Amino acid sequence: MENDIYRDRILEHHRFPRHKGRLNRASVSAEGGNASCGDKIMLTVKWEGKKLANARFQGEGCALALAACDILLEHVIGMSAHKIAAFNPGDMYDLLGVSVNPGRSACALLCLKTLTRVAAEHVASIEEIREEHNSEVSEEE
Amino acid sequence: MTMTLTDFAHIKNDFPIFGNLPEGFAYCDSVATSQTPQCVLDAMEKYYTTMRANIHRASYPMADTATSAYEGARADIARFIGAASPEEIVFTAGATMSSNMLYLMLQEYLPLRPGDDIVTSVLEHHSHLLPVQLFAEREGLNLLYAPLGADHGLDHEATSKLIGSRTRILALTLASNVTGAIVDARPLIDKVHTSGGIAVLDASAYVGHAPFDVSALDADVIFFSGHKMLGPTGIGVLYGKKKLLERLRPAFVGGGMSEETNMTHMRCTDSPYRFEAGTPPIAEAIGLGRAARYLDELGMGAVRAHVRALVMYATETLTALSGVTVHSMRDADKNIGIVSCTVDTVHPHDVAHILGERGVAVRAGHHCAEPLVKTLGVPGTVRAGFHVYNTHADVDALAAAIAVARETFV
Repeated sequence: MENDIYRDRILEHHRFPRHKGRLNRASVSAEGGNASCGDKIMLTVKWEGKKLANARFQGEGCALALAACDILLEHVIGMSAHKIAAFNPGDMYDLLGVSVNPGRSACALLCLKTLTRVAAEHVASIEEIREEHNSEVSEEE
Repeated sequence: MTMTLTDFAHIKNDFPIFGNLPEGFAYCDSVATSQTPQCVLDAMEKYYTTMRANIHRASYPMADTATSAYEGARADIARFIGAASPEEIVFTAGATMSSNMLYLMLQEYLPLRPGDDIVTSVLEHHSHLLPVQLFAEREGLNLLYAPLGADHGLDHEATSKLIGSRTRILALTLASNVTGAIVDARPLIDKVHTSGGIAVLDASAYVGHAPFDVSALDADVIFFSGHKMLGPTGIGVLYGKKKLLERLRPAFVGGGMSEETNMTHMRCTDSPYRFEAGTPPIAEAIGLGRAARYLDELGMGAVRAHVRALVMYATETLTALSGVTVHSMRDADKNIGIVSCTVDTVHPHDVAHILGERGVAVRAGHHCAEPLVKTLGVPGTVRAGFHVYNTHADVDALAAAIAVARETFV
């Protein structure tokens, strides 16, 4: 399957990304990178309660890594942190719709790796707040 | 026997892998690892099928045969690089292991004071640079970087100026694994010797590509990997001048390296054996010795002429392609066999991927020389490295595939 990963959809998202940039009023910003490639991305994320209200990416990387950022963010905006944190590489490959060889998996998964980490941290902070709230309630009781 | 240049047209027949790859497959990734000739595979198989025994430690004849083959490989390597004797050759697991163990040993050996200098260069591969960084950090040394010249090679004049009375070590590559630039190390080595320091040279990208004489170079230590010079993986060399090796205490200890061991201490055996604790990669050492003999049979002068011609042709061909910027040493006389480029704004990984799908194997990225690639001001390069089996047709395939990659994105 020649040029398989460079199907129109990947090239389209690479040329005309919808979610490239930086949110001014982000809840969190997070960096991700591939040591072996030198790819670097910065995600800015806006949470509204559990929900991912908005997200943007910036960075340097190959077409696959950057298109994967755009495609993933497009898919997950509006989802809950729990659901995003549970995303796995198989989900990412399904979203890309192309077969990615092992040598390029780090490119395809860079955004996923960074975003799921951010989502997991958000889930943990929500649970922490809930626990604090519960313990305050029980102390009052 | 010295081959003529035309003999290289059939040299792929010596490398069985090319019979298993599609017709016309252009393997241009020999800087990462080179291919293995049948004679090297045969030498390793002969060890496994006719003399498999541990070395140095048994009295039965087969073990003697294995020991002779292993020590014969040491002698082959000594001859190949012009060492004064086989005792100056330590077999290691590779260049990275050589370099790491060396700096651990130098830490104890050298009379260092905080504020002393170690001079390295921006051209270094991480296998040399990172052990040097750690060494400098642990010892409180100033780490001085020799800069890049305008031709993507070392700025020799600026490097020379960095070497002074406080320089304890000159840690330098002999050729960049990204730009191919050959370093004219001898004057710099002389200068560091005048200052009472030692010279450590990374010869990984150099050895096996051009005639090499370590005695003429007068380096105190050099190291390289076997797998970049047509040898197997898992084997490398640490060369040290005999007098220096005799004074170093081994970084690693274990079986086979002590003369006497009692409950509280041991006495090391002689160099180089004391640096080879445990069972070494025996088959791989034998394979590497055979690789050195194979290269000698081709004639290192002929090998160099062949690779140089490919560099010249590739540099001309890629320069003529629109949208391509060459980041390697353009003067083929000063290039060990590597051409690096970028293609418009297309990321090097995307270029390399498309090349790979078209049967051209190259590497993209920072090539474990991140400070150098950052200095070049690019996110990475697409790198083609040539060896004896490459042909002008490989360069043509490379150029054609780069044109396709550019069309895909631009």
